[in-house]
Order: sequence, then C-alpha cells, then structure tokens
Amino acid sequence: MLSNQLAELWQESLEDQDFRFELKAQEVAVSLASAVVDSGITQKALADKLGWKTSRVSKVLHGGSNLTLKTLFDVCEALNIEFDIAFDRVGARQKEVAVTKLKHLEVEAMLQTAQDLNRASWKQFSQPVVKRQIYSSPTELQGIQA
Amino acid sequence: MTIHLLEITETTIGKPFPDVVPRLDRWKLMARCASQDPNTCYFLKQIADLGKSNRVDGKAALSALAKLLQVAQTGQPLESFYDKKQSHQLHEFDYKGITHVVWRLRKGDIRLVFYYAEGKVVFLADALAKRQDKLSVGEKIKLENEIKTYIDAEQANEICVIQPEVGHVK
Repeated sequence: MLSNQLAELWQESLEDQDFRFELKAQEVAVSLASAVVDSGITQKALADKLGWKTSRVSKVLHGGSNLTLKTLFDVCEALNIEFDIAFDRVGARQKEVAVTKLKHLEVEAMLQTAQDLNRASWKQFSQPVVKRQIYSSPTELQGIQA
Repeated sequence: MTIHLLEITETTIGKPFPDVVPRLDRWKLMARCASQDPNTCYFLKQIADLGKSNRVDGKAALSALAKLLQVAQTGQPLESFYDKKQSHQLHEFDYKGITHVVWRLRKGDIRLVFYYAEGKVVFLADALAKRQDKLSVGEKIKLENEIKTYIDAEQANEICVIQPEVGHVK
C-alpha cells in the first residue's frame, strides 16, 4: 500500500542524522525567509543594510549555507526582529505517547486473557456436580448399584 | 472528465507526527489520483518509487517536499524561498488561447514539477530523478497532457477533492 511505503521511507530517512539536520536547516531558512517577506524588505536592501553581497543573503535565506548564530543574529538585527531558540521535548513526548499506547494494548491483552481464563474456569465449575453421599452400610450401597 | 485531487500535506505524505495546523491562506498543494482512494495518487506513487529505486533520491524527494510544504504553509510567494537555481520555469505551452507556465523545483537530482492553478493551488504534476535538465519531446507531451487534464477539469468544474479521513467530498 502506498501510504505504508511512504511511511517506511520516512522512517528509514529519519534514522539518518544528516537527513534530520537537513530538515532542521531548511526549517530555519524558511522561517527566516518568511520573516524577510513579512518585513517587506528586498534581498538587495537587506544585503546593503548588512554590508553583504546579495548572493550571501540568497544563500542564507534559501538554505544554501550552514547558518551560524551570529549570522542569524545579524539578519534579525537588520530586520529589527527578535529570535528565540526553544528546546522542546516533543520528540520525547511522542515516544512516550507511543510507549503508553503499547502499554495500554499490553494491559488490554492481559485483561482479555484473564477474562478468557476466568470464563473457562466458570464453565468448568458450572458442569453438573456429582453429589457425594456417605452410605451407612454395604447393603444400602448394593441397593443403589442394583 | 472528473478528476480526483488529493491535498498533499504532512499527513498524506506519511510524515510521522504531523503537527502543522493548516493556515487558511496557505498554498494548497494538490496532486491527481486515479480514484477516490488516496493510495492511487500518481505524484506520491512517484515519490515512493524514487525511494524504492534509490534511497538517496527518496530522501532528497522527501526533503524537497517537506520544504515545499513549509513554504506553502506561509501563504507567501513561493519564489521568495528559492533561488533561480532551485526554482525556475521549466516549460511553457499554449492551450485554449492562454500561455501556461510549468515550474520546476530542484533538490539534488530530484525535480518536482508544478503548475500554478487558480485559487492559490499548486498542482504537482511530476516528481522525478533527473541527471539531465532538458526535457525530451515525450516528457513535454506527457507533462502538457497532465496539466491540460487539470485545466479542463477545473474549467468544467469537475474536480473532486479527496478528504482522506472523511471520504469523498465534491
């Protein structure tokens, strides 16, 4: 199925650290380029303001370079905007969610097994019970057997 | 002829933990499907096939798609996020008295081919690994036909947008 093939491709790609870095670098570059568009400044004007060549601005905004914090800071200063770096644990949280789901399934399976066993044992006990009787004498017993 | 379109999102491309809430003013990335089943999407099939034949190409295609999705989500002009080498006109052709332009995104050896349609829609026409940039005559015809199919359906109001979770909505 196509959706499974794509999910598999993602899974395998995300195991590659370089791929994950590339995604992250792209995200930062797109966010920065979006901020430039929002500010209304042209790349040429931004380059003039920073004292850079236009080609350098283009590289920074289009994901062609590994940005340093200083570069990021300089561009934000020129745009008169702030930037923050947030370290979140979304990935870890998502793993936790996945583990929790698995545990939930495990518990459900255990409960199901317990229920099945319980049901089976009830069946066993609900079989006709043989009455035990103590016979007082051998003749009495013989009478019943006859 | 009615065509079935699937919106390409983080969910439909199979990205684990999709977390983007779609903005109303976003560019909608649409691709054609053979039926109302999202698993028949031609464009996504091409991405999956790229990954099957060459893992490097597969990763490049996913990376290109991830960036395009983030860019589309801003709702801002796409060309603000790519330089001329990364995004440029690939081909143009006349159809029904109008000149239509086909665009291309490059990422390594991967090419994503698209067309700006009406209503802030980006119609994803093709995804391929190409070591040569020039289109062959056959490729041009195939591309033109794909876009003409879209244009015809759009003009005849015969586009059905697939809602993967809900079913089929016109």
